[in-house]
Amino acid sequence: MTTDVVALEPRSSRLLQIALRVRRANMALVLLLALFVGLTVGAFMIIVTTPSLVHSWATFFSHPGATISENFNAVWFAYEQIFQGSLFDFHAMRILIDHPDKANLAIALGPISLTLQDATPLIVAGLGLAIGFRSNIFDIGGQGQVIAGGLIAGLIGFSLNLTPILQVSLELVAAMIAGALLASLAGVLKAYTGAHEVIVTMMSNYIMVLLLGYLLITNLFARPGVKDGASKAVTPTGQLPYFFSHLSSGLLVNVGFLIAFAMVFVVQWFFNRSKTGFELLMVGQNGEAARTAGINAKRTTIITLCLAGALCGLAGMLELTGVDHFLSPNFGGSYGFDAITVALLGRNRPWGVFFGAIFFGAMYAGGEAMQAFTPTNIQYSLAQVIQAVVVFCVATPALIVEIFRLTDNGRFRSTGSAGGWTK
Amino acid sequence: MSIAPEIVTPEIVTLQNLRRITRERALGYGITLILIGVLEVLWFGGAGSALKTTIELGYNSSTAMPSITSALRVIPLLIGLLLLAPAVSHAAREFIPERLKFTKGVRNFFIIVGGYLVIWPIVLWLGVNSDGALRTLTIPVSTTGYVVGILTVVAGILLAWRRFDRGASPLLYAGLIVFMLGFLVWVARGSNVSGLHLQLTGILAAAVAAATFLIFGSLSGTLCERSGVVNIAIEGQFMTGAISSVMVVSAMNGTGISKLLGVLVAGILGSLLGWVLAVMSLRYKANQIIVGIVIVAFCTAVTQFIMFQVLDTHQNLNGAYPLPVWAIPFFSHIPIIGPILFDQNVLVYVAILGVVIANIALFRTRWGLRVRSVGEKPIAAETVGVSVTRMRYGAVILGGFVAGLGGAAFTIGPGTNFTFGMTNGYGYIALAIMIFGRWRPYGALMASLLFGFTIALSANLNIYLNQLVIPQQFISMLPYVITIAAVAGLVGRIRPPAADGVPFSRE
Repeated sequence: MTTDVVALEPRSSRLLQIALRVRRANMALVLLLALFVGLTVGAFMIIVTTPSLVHSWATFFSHPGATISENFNAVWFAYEQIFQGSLFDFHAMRILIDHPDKANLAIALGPISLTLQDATPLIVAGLGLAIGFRSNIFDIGGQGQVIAGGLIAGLIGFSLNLTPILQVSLELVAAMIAGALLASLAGVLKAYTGAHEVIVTMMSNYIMVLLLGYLLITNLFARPGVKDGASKAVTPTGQLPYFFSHLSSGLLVNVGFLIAFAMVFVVQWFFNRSKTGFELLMVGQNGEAARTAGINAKRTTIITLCLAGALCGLAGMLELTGVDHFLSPNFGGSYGFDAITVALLGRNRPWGVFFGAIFFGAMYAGGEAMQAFTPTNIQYSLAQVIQAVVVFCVATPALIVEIFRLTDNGRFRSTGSAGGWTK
Repeated sequence: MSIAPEIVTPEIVTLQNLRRITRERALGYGITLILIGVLEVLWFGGAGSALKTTIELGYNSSTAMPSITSALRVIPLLIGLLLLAPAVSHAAREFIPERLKFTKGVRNFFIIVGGYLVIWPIVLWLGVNSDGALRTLTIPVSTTGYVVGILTVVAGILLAWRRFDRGASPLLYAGLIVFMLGFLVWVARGSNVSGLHLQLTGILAAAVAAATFLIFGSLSGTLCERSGVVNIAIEGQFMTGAISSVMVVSAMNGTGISKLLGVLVAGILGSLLGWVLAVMSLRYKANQIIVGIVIVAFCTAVTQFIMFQVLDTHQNLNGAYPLPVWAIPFFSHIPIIGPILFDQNVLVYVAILGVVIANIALFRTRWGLRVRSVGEKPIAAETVGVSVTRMRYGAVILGGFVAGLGGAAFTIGPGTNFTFGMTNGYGYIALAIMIFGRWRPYGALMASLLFGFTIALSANLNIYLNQLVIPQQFISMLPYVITIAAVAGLVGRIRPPAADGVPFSRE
């Protein structure tokens, strides 16, 4: 394998050394280049789907400058909206600096608050799925487990009226148990019959969506007399309180973000310090060796899926009690599926998942801004295209290494066995 | 927790052992059949005695049943009995000339054709009303329940008592099919009054239509996994094929050549995605399941974007242009089976032909032997000079093409618009079907028909909702629940290709 190129040529010029160092692959560089590839693909999609931009290429050979600048401006404007809608609105910032008061501060903080609010369930669900991925269990039933958590949290949320702290903690525990139970179905089936968890969890998604649709028109969930698919609202005591609500009612980030933040540390501890976490990692890295060392594979499988499901259920509870406050037929949106990509983007490390989720949250918030403010109303799903491409590149870093001719010492040539369909 | 690794002693398969196992199985199946029969008597037989069900036997004037005058109905009955006799009894076989070899295939053929010729006149005698093309048959519900239930119980008792080794599985499957038909008759009870006929032929034709994309999907899975690559991206290939074919056909205003082009584009885009999967998993040795999931995520995002950004504003790019329907002469007039199997769009025939070709290619050609060896023991294949990587590339790209055709079967096959989310997880169900069909094309065909039936059933039972106590959502869950049950009940007992999902490297 190629060793350190810089060390081999000590007398080369300083400039060359810097250039070689830049070419060496590391995770930050791969992430940056992945983002670049994602934005490029997104730009291509914008140009291809906007008629005026497609027509501008007809005059490419007569006025190349005009064509390029027109395309560049359109794409740049869209990406600017994503950035401003998710992180900083420069205009609002300038107003805040000119007139520093509460209202302007709230406006300036609005986009970040939206990003964090959108990221909260993703952090938790992404952590859950990352636990699975680390031990080679592919729980893609995030959506079903999010719905399971949301259903139970909702049931407790609108049927009880206790002290806030008691009710919220009751919702939290119940939602985690519900998610864990649903996921444990896949775990038990995998452990005892060998049914692959990808199929079982995927099917449980569809089943849970249908179940949600059914429950919302039963008397248990529907508002009295109104069966339009929306459930009763969670009582104020069961809702998660907002931060900064004294600044403005428009700031949406709530206590759920703190819970999600705490979960990052819990999962970090779980992997680094706990016995079960160690066993999961061992099974994930070499199942055969783990079994020889006396780790019970069946037990580990079930525990892994339970933990993954519990965190996904918690994500459903955070979404319901912190953001939606009532259930609707499309509750949970695409959180369950995006959590898979978040976990992959974070390379299954707790802090990676945390920042990956915030990136996704930013893309949600920014995507909506882009759809609202661009002249051709570029659809919000463009953000999802960019996300998917970025995740593709991060999940297979060897691709980035190859495209950009980076030097690497074999670190990014990942090998992983999908393991087929057997136990 | 035990320290020592599990040691599994394989059961020694002797003739006695095998016989014991099959006899135990026959007992279990027999008891199951008895239970099903009792359930039928209690459930369907318990329906109000005056209730009748009207079954539609045809739905299309081009496939209307030829009417036969009463006297002539004896002819097919007699021919059918003549064909059935040697297949059933040894005594009748004496009369067959020695030169004609009575192999298993010939026997099955005789049973199918003869049985069909016998059933047809009986159905006609029971009283077919000739209202236009619909040709309905009205039968009383509770009597049907009693007859069917008692027959099933008798079959179960016979099976449990005599313990046939070979007849066990076919009898159980027949019992289950009869149960489903009885259930349908029960669901549509009172339909001769209400006018909501049981559209038996319609449901079965919808089942074949639904089975089409499942056949393509599971065939794709079979091709890929026989070569040792897990293709979870079928769902993504479905979506891409569905949207691209409808866009190509609509852009060219649905001319004949555009339909061919649409199908081809769907296939080519599918194989492009297959190529991406192949590059990622063969060249970069990434985890195949992760790559598959990411490809599905990418396809979901792109189709969603195109759907809302382009197709919503340009409705003319998302038109409803069906592929031509070929009614095969003579065969399409056979009652019930005719309209189901021989009056379908071109893709259905392509799917069935694809199964036959794939079976021959996998099990009868040099290429197939190489693909299978690469999926079972790649190092051995490499040693004798077969390029593992090249074989896998070929299989995965071909599999992608097939899955892309399956995508076209969603939209331009029946001629519907593309709607986001229309693939509905069928790509994953196709994988379950592949497992259910034991990684064999014919198995995939049979399992697809079974799953297609459940999908058609869950889609068509909605009109009988007031007859059923079950809410609609639970009926829609049916295909998903059956998928879980199938995967859970089977996987441990059947063996996938040995190198399935394992990246190969020469070192």
